[in-house]
Amino acid sequence: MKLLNISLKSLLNRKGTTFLTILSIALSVALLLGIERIRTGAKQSFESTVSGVDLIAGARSGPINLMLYSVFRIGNATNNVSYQTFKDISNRDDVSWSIPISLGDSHKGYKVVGTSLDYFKHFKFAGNKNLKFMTGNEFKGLYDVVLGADVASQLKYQIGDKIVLSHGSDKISFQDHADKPFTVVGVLSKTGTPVDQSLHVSLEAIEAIHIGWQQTPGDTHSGDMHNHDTANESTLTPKSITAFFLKLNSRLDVFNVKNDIDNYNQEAVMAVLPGVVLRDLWNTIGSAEKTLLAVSLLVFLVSLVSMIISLLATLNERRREMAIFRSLGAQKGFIFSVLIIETGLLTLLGILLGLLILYIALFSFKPVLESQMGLNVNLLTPSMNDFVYLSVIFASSLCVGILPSYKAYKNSLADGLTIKS
Amino acid sequence: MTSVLDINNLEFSWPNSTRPLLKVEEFQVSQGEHLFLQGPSGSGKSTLLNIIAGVLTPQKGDIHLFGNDFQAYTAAQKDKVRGDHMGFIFQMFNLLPFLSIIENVTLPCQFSKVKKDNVFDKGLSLEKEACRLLKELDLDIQLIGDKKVSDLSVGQQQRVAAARALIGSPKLIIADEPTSALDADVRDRFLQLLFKECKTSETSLVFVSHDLSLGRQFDKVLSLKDINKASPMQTQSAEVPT
Repeated sequence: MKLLNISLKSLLNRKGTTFLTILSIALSVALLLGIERIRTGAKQSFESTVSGVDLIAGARSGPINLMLYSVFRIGNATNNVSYQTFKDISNRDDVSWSIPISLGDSHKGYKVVGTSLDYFKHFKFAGNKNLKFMTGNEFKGLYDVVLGADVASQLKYQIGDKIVLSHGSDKISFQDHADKPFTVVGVLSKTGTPVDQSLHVSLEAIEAIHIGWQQTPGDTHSGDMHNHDTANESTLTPKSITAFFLKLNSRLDVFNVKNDIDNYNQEAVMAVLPGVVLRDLWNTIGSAEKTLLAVSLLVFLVSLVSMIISLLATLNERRREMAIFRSLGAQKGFIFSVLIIETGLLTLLGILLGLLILYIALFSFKPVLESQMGLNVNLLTPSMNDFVYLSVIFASSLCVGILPSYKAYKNSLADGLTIKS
Repeated sequence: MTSVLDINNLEFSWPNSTRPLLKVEEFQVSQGEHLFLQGPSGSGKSTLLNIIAGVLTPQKGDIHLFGNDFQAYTAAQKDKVRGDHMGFIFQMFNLLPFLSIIENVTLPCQFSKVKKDNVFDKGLSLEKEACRLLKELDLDIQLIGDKKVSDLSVGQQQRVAAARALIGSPKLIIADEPTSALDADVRDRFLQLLFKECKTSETSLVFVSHDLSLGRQFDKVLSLKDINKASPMQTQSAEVPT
């Protein structure tokens, strides 16, 4: 029967308080790591809003501005890019595929994205997930529209519904394209990215609804001239788009191609590396992340304090135990070690139980987190950070365990062999 | 007869007090002797026991334990001497409730190699020796089973405590009011068993109690009041300037 054995049996004898202490450590471990998972999950989800895209190109402005309007659909482009430029760059040998993005219209506040079928084929988010259709499929006809998950659920649209797009991005627009209603043909699954908030139509559709808009109001040709048939027959090749995503054959060429685009002499265009800009963006808006971190640290502090309290609380009932050890020849250091080992055991069990709680919670809430909040929580692989946190938890609990241990040691010196009760 | 414990001119006071709590000119325990020390609570009884155990250190005086100068020992050495050569029985609550009977009895051998070897020298395992001692003390483990000590009666617990003090043949057993929680008939039986076991292993016994009626069965009876020259009243009068 060694020291550890005695500690274990002593702990088992105080099952109630022991369990509560372990539980309190476990809950804070689970909370700390859980918040940490969500924090990194949020960061990763954000940073992988677009993935699999090597470059984003658009009219020359700031990189963050380009990112904001092309990916997050926030704000407006300062200028468009001609379709010819898009074609030129897309046809380069080192470009694997490209996705055009044409913005400027909206539906009840949700942005309309004019694009090509490559969007559904190549666009990736959260690492390497492809867009999936919850119902229906991609647009085929000119007036077909594919809805993002949020658009469909918020506005309660279903396949076959007719909707009208508006010019501009305001929620209330007086410039409806009422003469050309669109038919919902598909709804995308939730992604947790701005895709959920978008309506997708073909580039040709964007052109079609704008036919005649260049003419001044009061022009005799407006109105009845622009029905579906005219649009279909018109030449619908887009003249300009807002931005485009590029995938290269080799990532090694990224800086080469970026350089070529930045120095394109036909038009003032630029290209950015989405990963880099997303990280910059996160750093500017990432104060929520720091708040989460602060919360989890506070949780951890509280649990350390509660562990000291529960250890100190058991000390009184254990004075006799310590006096018995002393009478049997136990040295002063022994009393100290028993308590420190006990603290270590409690923390270890707390950490194990905490991990169990964490994984049960993650597994049960993963679908909700993904579908409702678009958070991609990394489940199985514990990060390096987790190990750091757990070792810090273990080390700091041993440190706070010194206080009750020292108290017990002091008690045992004062009590000697007999307890005055 | 060689002396096991020899105390001369001992003086002890608490760090913050100028008044000595204990002042013993002479106190001796011989080998194999059964000594009854009578003292009401507050007479400095536990202080004296803590000094003998080496847990408290007196300011003055000379203590020879088993022929060695106990005062010259470091705290760790004192802990070792206590673990190796002494056994203690207290009034109550002196068993670990989370250990079984046998585990409680053999616990001293976990702390002392000397006690463990003393058992092995008899050719017995620790468990066998524990069972033997308990049986001698009228507690047959084969009948009641190796249960948790918290399931035992007070009388049974005290016998387990006695067996724990006796295991490994210590040279000195100190018993502090071990019978005050026991009924009269249980008490007498307990004392006889304790004497018998101490005789077999030639162990000296210092038995402390306030109940003088128990003293008849001992070799020697002392009153702490008589040997402690620093009883509160005397000290106070001594402080009055003459």
